[in-house]
Amino acid sequence: MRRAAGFTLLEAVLAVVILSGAVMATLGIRARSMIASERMQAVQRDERDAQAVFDMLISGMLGPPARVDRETGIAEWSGTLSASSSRVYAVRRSPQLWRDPLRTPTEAESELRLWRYEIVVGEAEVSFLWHR
Amino acid sequence: MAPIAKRSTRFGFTLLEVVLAIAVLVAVASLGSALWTQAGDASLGAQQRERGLKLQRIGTFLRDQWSQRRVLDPLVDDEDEAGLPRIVFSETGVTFPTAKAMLFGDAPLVEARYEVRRRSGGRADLWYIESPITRFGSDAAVESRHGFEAERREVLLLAAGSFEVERYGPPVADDEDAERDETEGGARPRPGWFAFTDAGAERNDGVRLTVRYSGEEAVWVLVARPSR
Repeated sequence: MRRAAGFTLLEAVLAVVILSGAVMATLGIRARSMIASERMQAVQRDERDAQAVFDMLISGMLGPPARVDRETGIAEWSGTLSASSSRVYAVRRSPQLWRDPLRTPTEAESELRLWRYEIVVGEAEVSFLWHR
Repeated sequence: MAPIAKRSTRFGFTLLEVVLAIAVLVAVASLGSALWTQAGDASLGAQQRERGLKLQRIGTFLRDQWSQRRVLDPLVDDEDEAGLPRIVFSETGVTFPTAKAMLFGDAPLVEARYEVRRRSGGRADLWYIESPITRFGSDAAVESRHGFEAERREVLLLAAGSFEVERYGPPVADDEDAERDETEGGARPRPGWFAFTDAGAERNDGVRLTVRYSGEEAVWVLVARPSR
């Protein structure tokens, strides 16, 4: 019986399936890499903008707060980073009692009244305590 | 007489082979096309990321340099301070003496100038100009350059989409949107962020640079004198 040279249909289909699988896996890795890279860029952008808001906030250059709750002492600022910027920020200041780091062990428990600031820009959230 | 064997020799492909070949070619072509498109997108994305990274690098270096700025007060008996390098905010950028050099690596102190050069159509370039400071005094500008290269420059951003410079401080007469602080007598104008105008400002406490570059936006704030 003469055997025809070449691949059978099954062999050809299997080869195509394997090749396609390899290409798809490579494309998937590449897509994930691109997404991660874009995500890193977005994080960098948010951190950069949060830094700009922080610089303005601690220098008193954000202006008066948009809302102040006299009872709780909570104040809020919001706006865009600059006159022409499309990036939006929000800052919230709330009072917080914190253990006095300078108290001696013999002293009664004493607490300091501080302010907790929370800055939100994009997906970045920065929080810090400050005495002012 | 022996019968002649009739051999039927047909050259060509069977229908199944043709269909299979077409299917394989179509699959390979579609994968190739997808790869080509992705490569194009990746190239564009990489270009944009590269530009975003460039903005990040410029911002980081500017902040580092600004944190290393120096205030050069004149000596008590030195009345002439004309040549003394100082922090200057203007509508074209910012100039300040700093201990962090970029282009003159050996210089202990340099004058850094970030200069915005406007183009037509709203676009702008950002130049960095650095001069070494070696002597202070009335003719420092001339003497400090003697024997040294006067300045080196570098284009940091070419054809940025827009570049805006705002100042923080009391408003000048042209600042129409200036708010007034009613808690302090009602007449005192409240400091804020304003565009630079022709009229000279009484004082500038800080400057804010907003740049758009290839779809990326960055805001850099330089505070010379906190208002708190």
